[in-house]
Amino acid sequence: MNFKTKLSNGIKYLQKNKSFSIGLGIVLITIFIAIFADSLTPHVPSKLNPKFKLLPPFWVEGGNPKYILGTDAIGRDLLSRLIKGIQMSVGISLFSVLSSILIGTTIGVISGLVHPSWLDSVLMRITDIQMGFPFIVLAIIILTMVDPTPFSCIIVLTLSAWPTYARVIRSSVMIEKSSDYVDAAKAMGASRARIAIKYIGRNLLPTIIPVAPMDIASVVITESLLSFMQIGIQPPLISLGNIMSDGRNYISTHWWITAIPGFVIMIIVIGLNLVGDTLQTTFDPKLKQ
Amino acid sequence: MEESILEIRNLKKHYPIRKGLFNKLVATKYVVDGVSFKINKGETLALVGESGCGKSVLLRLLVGLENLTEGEIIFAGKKLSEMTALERKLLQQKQQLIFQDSLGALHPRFIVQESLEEPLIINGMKDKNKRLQIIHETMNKVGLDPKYCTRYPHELSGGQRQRVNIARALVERPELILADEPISALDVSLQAQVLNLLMDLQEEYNLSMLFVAHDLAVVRQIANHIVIMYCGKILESASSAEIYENAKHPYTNVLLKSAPSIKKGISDEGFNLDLKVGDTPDPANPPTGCLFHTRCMEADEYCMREIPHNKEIAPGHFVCCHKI
Amino acid sequence: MEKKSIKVSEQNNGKDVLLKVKDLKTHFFLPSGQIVKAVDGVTFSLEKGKVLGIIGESGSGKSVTSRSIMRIVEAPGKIINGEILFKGENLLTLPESEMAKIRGRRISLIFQDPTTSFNPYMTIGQQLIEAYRVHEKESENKIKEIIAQVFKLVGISDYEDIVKRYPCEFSAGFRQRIFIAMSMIFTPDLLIADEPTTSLGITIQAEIIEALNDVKERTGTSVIIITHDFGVVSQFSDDIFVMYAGRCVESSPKKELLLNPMHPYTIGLIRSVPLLEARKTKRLKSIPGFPPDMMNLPIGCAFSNRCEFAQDICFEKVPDLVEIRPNRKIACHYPQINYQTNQDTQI
Repeated sequence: MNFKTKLSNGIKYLQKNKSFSIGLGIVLITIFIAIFADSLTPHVPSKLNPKFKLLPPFWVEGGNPKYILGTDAIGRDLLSRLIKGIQMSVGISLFSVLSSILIGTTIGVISGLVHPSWLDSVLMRITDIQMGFPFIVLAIIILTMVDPTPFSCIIVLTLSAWPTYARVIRSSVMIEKSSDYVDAAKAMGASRARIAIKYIGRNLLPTIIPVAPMDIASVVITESLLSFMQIGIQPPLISLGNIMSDGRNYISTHWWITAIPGFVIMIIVIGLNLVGDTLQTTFDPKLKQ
Repeated sequence: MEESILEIRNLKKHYPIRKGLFNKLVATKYVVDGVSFKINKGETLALVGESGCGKSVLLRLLVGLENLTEGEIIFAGKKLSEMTALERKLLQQKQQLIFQDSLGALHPRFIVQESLEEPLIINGMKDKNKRLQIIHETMNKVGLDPKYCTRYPHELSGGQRQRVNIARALVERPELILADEPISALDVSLQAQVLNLLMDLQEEYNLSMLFVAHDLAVVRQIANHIVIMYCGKILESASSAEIYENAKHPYTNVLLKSAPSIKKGISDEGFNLDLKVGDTPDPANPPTGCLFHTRCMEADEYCMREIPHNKEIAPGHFVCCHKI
Repeated sequence: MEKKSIKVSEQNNGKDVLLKVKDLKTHFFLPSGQIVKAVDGVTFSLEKGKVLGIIGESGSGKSVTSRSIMRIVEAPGKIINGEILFKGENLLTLPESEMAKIRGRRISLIFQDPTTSFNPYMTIGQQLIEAYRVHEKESENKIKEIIAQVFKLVGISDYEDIVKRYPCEFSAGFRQRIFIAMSMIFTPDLLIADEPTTSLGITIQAEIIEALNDVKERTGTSVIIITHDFGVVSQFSDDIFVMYAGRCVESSPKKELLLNPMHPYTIGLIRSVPLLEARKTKRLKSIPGFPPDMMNLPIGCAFSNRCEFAQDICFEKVPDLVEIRPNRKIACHYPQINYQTNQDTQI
């Protein structure tokens, strides 16, 4: 199959799966914005402009086309802030999910492979404790103790997400381990490492990949929540949550400062969920049939 | 005396059943309890028993998927317990397992070629072209077009999948095939096909076979020797001809008679089940005395009390019953 | 036995027909736009007190047929054509509320897997009472009397202990026996058994078939037994109905079909059944090729590419189901009228 037919097949697929195309479109645009944020901002996001305080978006009466989405209470351009905010929020979510996958998978695979043994029990009790601890309390404790930098945010978010992966991966490893094809491989004389990597590993990626976009979506929301509560990303750094937090006092008179970032979060979350949904059906050979 | 490829002596597998906080031993499950038999080179031994009689566990013991509790496995004259690691590895090439569930035995994300390549790679064949050559050759032998190489298992029909499984067992050119009900999950019209295929392959490669089945009709054509297993023990074992014409154990007779058949349909024979209504016994709580006495029509008090021993009633024909 | 087959033909012309299925079509409309014609024009009738065996391989549409009769075909499946006359009433035009009264009361279904047919959290007794109360209000004592009767029907005498226990405490075979008892609490006119013995061992299978036979003899209930096992239908049913790729290929009274099968597929099936009584010949006769892909059926007769008698027309035109002799219907361009099973080497 050459590139051209692959491309046309791909286009056909997208035309058939409308919801996936929409989701993919949103995700790609978001990624594009996150990568090229610095060159996309029309104004310097942190520059104060006392002349244009609380400017509404351009389509509302009194708006200024130079500030498409208006300005905030101290006259900073909202669109530029939004672009930087997307970069920060999406970046943090992506890295937290990646590191939770890494930690969760490692622990899940080890635990599943050695089950039943004391090591499995220990790892699973740790997971249980982590899962049982109220997340907000944990976040407040950690983020007040250490400097709330993006890095510490990633750590907090990772702590909240990895146990789910560990659980899911462990149970799927255990199911795989008792399957006939793994037995067949053992009877052939395959080594433990080969079974873990080639036989069990190949089934793990398809379990993880469809969950990841949906998980990123939920972490985007959590991150915004932390920043909105002003324990997450701190000014002068910008995240979607603290833009909303900035507009909190003006919500009745100048709704757009809070509503627009909220709307952006919603769009990103919907996009990620649509993609995750489709991935789930494509990665399951049985569902496909 | 004929040369034996596999001999097992007094093989036992007991599972402890533990309960409670301190893992107290509450019972023992006698899944395989003292089984001995011998397979001669180039011959087929059929192990027949109903579900739960321990026949599948026995196969798992033979290929090392379970550890045995007691007993001795002797492969081509050499005791398994005395083998070196290298010899064991060689043994894994010489005996191959075919599973009942053709779909479950193949990795769902491996294309046919990958599945077939696995045993060759594991045993260190590095040359990819040589591997492909062997795979194509074997696929042709089992009646599969090599174009199926790139298909996933779920894209194949049941009959094709079982052929892939057979091919996988054959790529190593084994000496002994252990087949765990290889045709019982297949459609009727395919059962005969696959059985014929196995017989052809056996002749061509001079394979020995241990064929596990749950009814006697299926092994009529293929078996040289038949062993009847019930609740972890052997009740009767004899050559195929002896079993079909001169079966002695009441359970064997029930198996022979209770299978519904076309001939009985034609002659309007009833069900005449010589069997007390009931279930196969629980291996965790086996009956005292003869294992079969709970369902046997001929059983008396003596059968309930005393464990019967193997009697050789004709050369090579062993029966484990008080009434003989 | 001659007498019996003559009687059969008389009754067929008479009015003692319990169930008549006419040109039933159940198709599955997949999201991808493909249509799977799981059942494509099935016609048969069943008399009171008789046993009809439907035999076919996986994907032949035999289970979908039974589900269509019960009207429990799951989406994306849809019954698109046909009539199902049960005691003269067309089940397909009944409102759902009326149909619910028939299900489990006039027609009962026994499933292949006795494990999943029970609620694991209720005792056997509770489930039987519940099954009764779904349809009718009755005092507990009266229901208990009925329960005692149905247990006796399937050969269980000491039911007192059984009703207090949970389904998981019994073996698969015993559960299936209890399930048969449960389906008999209203003495339905029709019992549909969908592969009732497939997951069971040989001796248990024989016991269950015997129990079904007893139930039929004692209550006069008609039975449709659906299976892939020729042995089971041969021994248990009065008429046999062979399905292949969603269509009926041959239907006939049992003995005639066994002695003189005419459709090449039926011949192939009978020949390929491993037989205890067979002479030890080296090879079994088998049907070449694989069952057809239901998404991609051959143009003509669905069996044409596996058939040894196929001619050009078989690859072009789907054969109609023709009544070749009284009570013998066959869908084949070249029926093997003179074929005798006995000639063959395996019996």
